[in-house]
Amino acid sequence: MQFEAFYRDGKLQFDQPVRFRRASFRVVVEVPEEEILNEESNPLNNLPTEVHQRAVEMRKRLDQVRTQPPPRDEEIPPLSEKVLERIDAFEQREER
Amino acid sequence: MDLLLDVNVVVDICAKREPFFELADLAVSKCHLEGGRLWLYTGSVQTLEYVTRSALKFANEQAGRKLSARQLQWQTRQLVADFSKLAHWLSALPDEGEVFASADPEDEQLLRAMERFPSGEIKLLTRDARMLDEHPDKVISPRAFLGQSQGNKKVDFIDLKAQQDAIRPQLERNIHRVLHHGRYIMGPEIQELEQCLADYVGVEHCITCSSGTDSLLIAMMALGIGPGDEVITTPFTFIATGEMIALLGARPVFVDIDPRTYNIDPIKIEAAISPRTRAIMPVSLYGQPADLDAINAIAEKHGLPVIEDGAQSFGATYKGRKSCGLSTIGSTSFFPSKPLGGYGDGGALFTDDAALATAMREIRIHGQDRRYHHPRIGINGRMDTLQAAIVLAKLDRFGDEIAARQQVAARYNERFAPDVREPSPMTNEENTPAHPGRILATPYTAPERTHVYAQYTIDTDDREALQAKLKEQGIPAAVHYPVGLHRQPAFRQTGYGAGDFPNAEAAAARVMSLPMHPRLTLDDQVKIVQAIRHSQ
Ligand SMILES: Cc1ncc(COP(=O)(O)O)c(C=O)c1O
Repeated sequence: MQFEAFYRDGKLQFDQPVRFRRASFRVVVEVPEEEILNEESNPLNNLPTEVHQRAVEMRKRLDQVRTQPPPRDEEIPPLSEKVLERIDAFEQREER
Repeated sequence: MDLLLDVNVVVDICAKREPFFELADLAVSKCHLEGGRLWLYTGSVQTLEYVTRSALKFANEQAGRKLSARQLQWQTRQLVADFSKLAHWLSALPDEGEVFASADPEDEQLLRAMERFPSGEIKLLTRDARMLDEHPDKVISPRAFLGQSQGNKKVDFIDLKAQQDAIRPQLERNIHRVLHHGRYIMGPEIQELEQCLADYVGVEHCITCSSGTDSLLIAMMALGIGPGDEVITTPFTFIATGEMIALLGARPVFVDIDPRTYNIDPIKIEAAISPRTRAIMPVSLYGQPADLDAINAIAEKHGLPVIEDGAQSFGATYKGRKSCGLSTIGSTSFFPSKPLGGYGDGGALFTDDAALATAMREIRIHGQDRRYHHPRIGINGRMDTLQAAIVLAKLDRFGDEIAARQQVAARYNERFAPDVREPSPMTNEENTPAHPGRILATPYTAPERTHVYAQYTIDTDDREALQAKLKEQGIPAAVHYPVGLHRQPAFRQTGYGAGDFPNAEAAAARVMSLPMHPRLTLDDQVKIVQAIRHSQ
């Protein structure tokens, strides 16, 4: 049987009162994944090192692209009215 | 598993958006390392650019970097272009346009785009909470993807996916062109392909056909082969070779093979020639040309034409000349698993003889020389325009594909070297092996020939046990071919029996083909070699 419970400072608490036959027994609890910090259950700790290596390489390359000094304005084609309007419109887009 | 990247994840990566980019970086590299593909939806390009721009603007401001509007656009495009090199563009299809009834048309497009993949083979990678809630089976977060274990990965016997990835833009463009011009039968792509193939092989004429079986039939019809005639060929080949001879009412006369190359043994041909012999049809098995100089010399002496069945050897060379351009007529197949495979059936014929070329062209289209005029009997043996468009898209990279196959084969050869039993295989001597390896031989390439490894076939004396062991470890193996044609029930009337062709029979009992494709990884090859080595 499923109950909703809240985890607060080391204890599971039922928001609605429930009475049990016994004072203690085993339960299986479903915990939202994003709440877990525990080292072993963090998938990042079980990833093969190649995954980390590859990610680092990609990051290095993208950082390089991102931080390279941009050309001067005169060397870049101007933005048309149309593009500027589109930029404004997209800036209204809800960020997720 | 493949991942379709939602815009938010790509922006996290490109704009290095805190705190999300790290998980996104890792998810992308995990997908790659597990052999999955990353997809970017073509229909999202504009959103991708503008949202990345806005995130970069924010990041630059935070970092105190001042960029002009133009510089920001430049930076955005550099980043998106660079990142997109890691992914494939997934085209937007028409049924992804009609999404106006949906609450979120953009998300709906992505969900629909994934429907063209087999179920479970792709997920949308996103942080969008609504999508994650509503479509848990189709959508995954970077964190959840990182926690997902891949399961036991199987080795593919052939892998056509990676090749498709490399040519997708040309491929889809070519297919769409045909859809739009609508000339599905003998459209312009047919002629274009014939010209390219003739140039590639180095002959005057190429005639594309509906398959590498029909091409053999057409070639023999053009030579006038029929009932009462005999055609000399090998018993160790795919059924089509002998089957087409019999279909014309002629008799296949088999000649045993050279045990090292598995191709017809030229030394034994002459004894099989009779007054009824009309042609010699060697097969360039597994991807290595038969000894065509020797065969041509015998044929010339007896005034016979030679048809090379090069279904498996397209792209291979013999003394510097290409397979299919080595004899009176060359025939090949574009069956999907062949070195130059299409996405369905197809084949081609090659010749320098203008009269034969005309005959074969006519036979391919009901024996007609002009519309509704039929000087001879023919068949419907045309290649589809769509199929030609597909093969055309593959031609540019064909040279690289062959080189990659040869490299894969070289890696196998090298790693199998300690497992090859000494002394050399198939001598039929029962002497005690000096080195008790599992393998009797790896593929042998004769001098002055190149091999394109349509199959990488080894020789082993406990094939069934070995094959079963490999299967347990998720490694597929195949047998090309377990029974010689002379022992096939369909050829009962030819009167051949067990023991007539000892080399072919020994080969049929012992050969086993291993996974082979241009993108077979060293890791997989090591796994295969180890599995064979430790299968005792
Ligand atoms: C030696 C040989 N001949 C003929 C064929 C027939 O080709 P297709 O499958 O295109 O009809 C094949 C293909 O499997 C083959 O391997």
